[in-house]
Amino acid sequence: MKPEVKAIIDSNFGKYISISDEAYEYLDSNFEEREYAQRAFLVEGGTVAKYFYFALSGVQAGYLINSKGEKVVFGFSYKGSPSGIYDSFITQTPSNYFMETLTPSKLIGINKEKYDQLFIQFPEFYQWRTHFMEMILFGRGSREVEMLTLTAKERFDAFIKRCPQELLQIPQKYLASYLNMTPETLSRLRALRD
Amino acid sequence: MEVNFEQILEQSNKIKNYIKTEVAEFSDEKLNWKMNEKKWSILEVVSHLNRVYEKYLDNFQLAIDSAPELSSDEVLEFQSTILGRLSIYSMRPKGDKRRFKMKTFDFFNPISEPDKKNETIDLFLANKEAFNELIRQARVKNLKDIKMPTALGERMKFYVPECFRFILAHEQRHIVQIASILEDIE
Repeated sequence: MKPEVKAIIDSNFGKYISISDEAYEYLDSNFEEREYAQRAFLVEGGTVAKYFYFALSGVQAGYLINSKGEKVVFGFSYKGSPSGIYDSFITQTPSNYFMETLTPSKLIGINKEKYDQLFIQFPEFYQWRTHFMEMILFGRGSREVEMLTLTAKERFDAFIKRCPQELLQIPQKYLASYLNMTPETLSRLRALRD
Repeated sequence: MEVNFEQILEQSNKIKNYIKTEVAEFSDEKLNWKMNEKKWSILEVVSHLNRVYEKYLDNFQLAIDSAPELSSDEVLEFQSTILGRLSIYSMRPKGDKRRFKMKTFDFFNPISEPDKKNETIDLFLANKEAFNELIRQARVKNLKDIKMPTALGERMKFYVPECFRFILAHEQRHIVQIASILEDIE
């Protein structure tokens, strides 16, 4: 197993459960490494998400197209984090969302059949799944509270505090959309800070 | 206004899903049913869409190939022609209504092949995927001021994103037509 793949498996699954040798082997042979150029789609709106990913490098954005035809960014993934469109992946129905690489990216992905098989063959992974779901739920919850209660400046400050450096390099309009502010406001807030 | 290729692609994917998961499952009887001799069957509608792709796919490819790459900080502004706007407006169905009656060009008339259900639908899905791939290619190209020929006449050239929208509006119109044929069957 490649060290970077082992690292990402340990930091995600290994954080919650102990992984047997057999399970390592299963993960290693069923998570395929995939490379994408900048601005490639991991998932296209209207298609089924084929893989559940972990990002080895690059930054990826999840967004939807609203009724006015605008991109609304709801999240990012980057080195070390899970990626993809989980609801479409789990239900195997067409996604309402896009997942796009904002920089050249390397990810490992597992298909639905092998993902399901993981829990049948190694039921201890359900513990990981419970923690993973909680983590996502808490994350979405705190983001919702931030959106409802914080001012634009406070949202920006909170984001800067928790986000990795590489996220600040992506096109301004993606960050602005994620923070629910205009690119002009974001640029003003950044200027004040820098 | 920035060109929204993602929206174009999502709409295109939805049409593909509909043909792939629903129309492809219809019985032969349903696919070939006609209200009368002058009207098209569902299979003929799909065949008509294939003929349109035959005419347009290469033109898209030529136009896209001729364009330089879009640098990462550039955005492509949507450009349109008066006739393009008018054509898209009149093609696009409003809800489940086709607003303006139109007659197709002879060279777009469907080939009637009632026994070639699988071939016709598979060809549509292949054409659709080729069309989607063209949209993906176009996203990273600088298509500013590049026009492509249409079937509407020698001098009717459209900008590439505009032409994507035109083809989609036309397809949406025929999806509405399929829905109305299904209503007539019942």
